[in-house]
Amino acid sequence: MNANLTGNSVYTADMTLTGSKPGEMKLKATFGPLGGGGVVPARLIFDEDDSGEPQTGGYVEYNGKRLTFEGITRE
Amino acid sequence: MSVLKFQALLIGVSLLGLVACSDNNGSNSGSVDLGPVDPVDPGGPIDIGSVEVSTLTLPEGVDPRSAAFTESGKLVLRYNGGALATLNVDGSEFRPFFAGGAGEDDDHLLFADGKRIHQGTTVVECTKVFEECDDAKVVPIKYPDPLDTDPRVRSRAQEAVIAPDNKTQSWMVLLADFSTIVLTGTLVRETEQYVLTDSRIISTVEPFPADPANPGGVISVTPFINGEVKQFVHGGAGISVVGGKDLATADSMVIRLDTGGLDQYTYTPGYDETTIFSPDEKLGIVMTTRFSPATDLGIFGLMPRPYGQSMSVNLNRYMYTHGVTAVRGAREGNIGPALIDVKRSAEDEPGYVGINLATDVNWVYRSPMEWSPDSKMAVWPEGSQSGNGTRIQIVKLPDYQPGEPVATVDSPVMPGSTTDLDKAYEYQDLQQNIDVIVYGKHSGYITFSRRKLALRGAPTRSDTLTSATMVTPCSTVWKA
Repeated sequence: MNANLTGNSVYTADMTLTGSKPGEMKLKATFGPLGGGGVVPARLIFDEDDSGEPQTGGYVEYNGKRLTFEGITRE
Repeated sequence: MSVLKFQALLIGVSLLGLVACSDNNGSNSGSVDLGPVDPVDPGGPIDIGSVEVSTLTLPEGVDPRSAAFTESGKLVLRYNGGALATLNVDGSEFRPFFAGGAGEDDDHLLFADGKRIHQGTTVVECTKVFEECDDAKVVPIKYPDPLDTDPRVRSRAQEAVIAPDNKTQSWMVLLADFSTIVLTGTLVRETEQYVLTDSRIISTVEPFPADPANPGGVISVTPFINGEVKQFVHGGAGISVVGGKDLATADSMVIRLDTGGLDQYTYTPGYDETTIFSPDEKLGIVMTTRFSPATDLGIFGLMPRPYGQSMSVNLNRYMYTHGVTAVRGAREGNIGPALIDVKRSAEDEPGYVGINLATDVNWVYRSPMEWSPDSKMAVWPEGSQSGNGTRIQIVKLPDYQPGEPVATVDSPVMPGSTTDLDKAYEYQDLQQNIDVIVYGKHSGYITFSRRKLALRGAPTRSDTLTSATMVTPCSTVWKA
């Protein structure tokens, strides 16, 4: 995680879990600035970056559940 | 406006075996011993019955901020910038007893004696119970040095709660770099003020002691105790707090003052805050993003990872502002609260989420929430998204058959707590610059580093910059 309250903050995870409850967490999330004394709420940036890669995307699977960024607000 | 370069976060986890490394970013695997779950008091499943949510009727010109129940079942209402009144839950018998000066803080905690209100840095005192009070006055609280006026302290009493024994207080100190510590102390009334004595830090201040089995390595302390305190529970032997243990994201926990342990009460992958327990402790109300799929970021918390609290990458700040702060503004969503069966929630019953008490997308939960003495009602404020002020919501459970309220005890001194308050500053220094290695039980290791830049002196939110990285190589086995 690189967190920057006045710029973009990027979180990435690349994990594979084995055992009785296997899972995978492979995602990247880019948050816009919180700024303004921290009063601006976090907003995910879904646009592509300069290289054409999405700045937010991926999934997590664990214990039979799968979550993605689908349905997460873009506002 | 700067944009940081991308830095990869690599975490490998294996609960019972080895991880097949998936790419050439470096081999990454490991596992974590999540430890036993402490037993939960028996009870349930509970038949809650019907759930009725309504809005408190108030006289014209009354702008409410918060409400709490007295022992007789009336409400004490804070309104109009710090005035206080009692009234019935049906809105009748509105009786002001304090014109103003009680403050606008969230803190609104009635002492069990029914005559005083703890509000962080002051106490409102009456000589008679609130229903008959005609002499309310405000008395200041002296906080202990060196955590009172030191410039390294941003807020000396960020949250403060009073125990059922009427004398033990717990509170959180927000330090200059936004790291936090939790304390308990004994509130003593002197001639002109209250003074906190026997103050001691109960949160973890040495999260990474040396690992004697692995020179150069450290032990990542579990459970890692910290977070915003909201309510004394177990008769005063525990404190309900937002924190975490088994997951890396925020959940409801209880700090056990009697054992030094930490019990987990919610397990949703998104953002759960503190559970407020009913007096019989079979039900709870919790602020949560679980009912709001567009704003809930449970994607970050679904899969557990080793030492998700002590080796935190500060995701909670983003999850909170995405799902709470924004919804209190203009973003559509809700933050509950959820009404939960404590046992079902604490045992992580698959699919159990409780009951959503939010009734209108234009009105959003605010703190604090309070239960009635008979465990059959609770109240909380809601703020309007469209600038229509605040209202007080009431949930009534007319069918619920409550148990006896948990008996009061003198709050114990927590094992492992320290009266060396300077430990707070050592902890703050550590939080700004972490670079540790935690070795696996059988093989491998995790490296964890956190850098906070531009944080010397008196930082502001706008110059806070954090980089946190966890890396573990392939073949790490934490628990065979």
